Amino acid sequence: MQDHQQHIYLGEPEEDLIESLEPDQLVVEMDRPVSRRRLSGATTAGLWALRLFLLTITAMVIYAFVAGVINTPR
Amino acid sequence: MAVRTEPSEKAPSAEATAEGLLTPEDLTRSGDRRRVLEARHRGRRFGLLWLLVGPGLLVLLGENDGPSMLSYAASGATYGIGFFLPFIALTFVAAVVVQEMAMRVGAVTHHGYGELIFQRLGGFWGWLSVVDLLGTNLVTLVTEFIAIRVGMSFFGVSAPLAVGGGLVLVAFSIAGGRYWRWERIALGLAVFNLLFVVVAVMSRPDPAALAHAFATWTPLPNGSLQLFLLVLASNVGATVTPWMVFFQQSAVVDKGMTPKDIPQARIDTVLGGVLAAAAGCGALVAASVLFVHHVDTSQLQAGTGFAQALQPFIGYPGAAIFSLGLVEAGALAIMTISASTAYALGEAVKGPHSFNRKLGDAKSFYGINLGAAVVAAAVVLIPGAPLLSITLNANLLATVLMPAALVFLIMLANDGELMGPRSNPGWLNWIGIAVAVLVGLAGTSYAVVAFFNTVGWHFLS
Repeated sequence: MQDHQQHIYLGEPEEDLIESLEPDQLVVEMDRPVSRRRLSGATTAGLWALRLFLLTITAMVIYAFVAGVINTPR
Repeated sequence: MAVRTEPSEKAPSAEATAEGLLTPEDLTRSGDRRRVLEARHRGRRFGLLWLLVGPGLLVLLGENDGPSMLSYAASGATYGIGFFLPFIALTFVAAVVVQEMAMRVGAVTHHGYGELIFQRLGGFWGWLSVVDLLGTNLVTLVTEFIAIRVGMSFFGVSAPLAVGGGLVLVAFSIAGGRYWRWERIALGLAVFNLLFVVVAVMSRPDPAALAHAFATWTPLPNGSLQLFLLVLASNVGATVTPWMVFFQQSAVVDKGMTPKDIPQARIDTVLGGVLAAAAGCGALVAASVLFVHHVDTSQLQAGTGFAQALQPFIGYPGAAIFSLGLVEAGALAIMTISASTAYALGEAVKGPHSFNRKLGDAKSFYGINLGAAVVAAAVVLIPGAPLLSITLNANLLATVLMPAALVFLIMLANDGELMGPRSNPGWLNWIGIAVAVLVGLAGTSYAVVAFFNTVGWHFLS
């Protein structure tokens, strides 16, 4: 049992309270993972390309940021 | 007294009820949902809307945070209202489009954004998304405390006291063990984001000039390309950021919203966008008096900067309201960004991730919530920390990393198995892709120019 579910309510909750939630809104239901999606080769390649591109851009921003901090007179 | 629900309102599974698998979190959430069902059943339209607004308003007004308001003010002070007034309004349209997707995915799947990426696309992409979020959130949280510190310093409040006040607010807001309480405290604070509209009115803008700017997007900015791209990318990152996607989807789930609530949740999101755009444009308009009077704005984001610079033109009350607005912007964002951090990490490690849990039942969730704020607060109090540089770059980092978050969101919103008939329509995908491209271009342009200028290749400056 996950940490999420360790505090189970063992009493008799009011019926109207129970009915206020949809079945898949219960914590026990929300903790059930959805099935894994199979990504196509093209999708995976696209995600990798985007990730590498963003890493490169992030590195450039961080470099400019750090250089700016170092070169800023205190 | 039981409330009869519409026939289409489903009851929880018999097994769950019979097995007694109801947690206190379920009961807390169901209490709030009962009021929603009652309002819907009795046809109380405004009552229903009042119960369901929250995540959209909070995410969009929360993104009008310290660095965002300073970015808008810097835009107005540097370039006037010409190009950036309509540009900022446009970025809020983009934000509403993105946040509507996040809201819809949350209401339909009852899973947070981070949780769905982990489960649907795998742990590798999930952890990359969460690491992106943690990086941008921590940097942004630092800037929120800078905003509080800057705003309070206008009134002579010391930095430790101002920063400590922000931490007390976070601790107070999370202490109730109920999402509704946390949300209403945050909403109460969010109202004060409109102080920037008040300051804009006090600056007595020319209505004809405002109309001209919206109609023509002119005069266009001139001067340094790097500075223009910095301001442009900062404004994009001030409006569309990864934490917003994580936050709103998780908050919608935590609030217990269902597909039947989507119409009200759309109003919530659009209203948040309109109010946030008004406040953001207000900051720009107010600061544009500095542009009109040729005030040097290059270092205004340090110290009490903008408020003091504005004082000769809008008086002490106006400057004080601007400072209070900055404090509010920082304070609300500390709450929402800390929450998005705690939601995301909770979903990543399958730990507790709900404000409807009691403090003792979700120590890690509340610990991360407060811990993230404490770390950021500590950075602000380090003597000699480069607060100005951090403020300027916080939105940039969000801009650079946003396209990845957007691509995953569009994938989830188009996932037929998850979303069924509530998947994205084709036209919305095109708008979503256009937003991703706009954000990507803004971040990339600045990064390339700033990088080559830094290494000494000044061909673009």
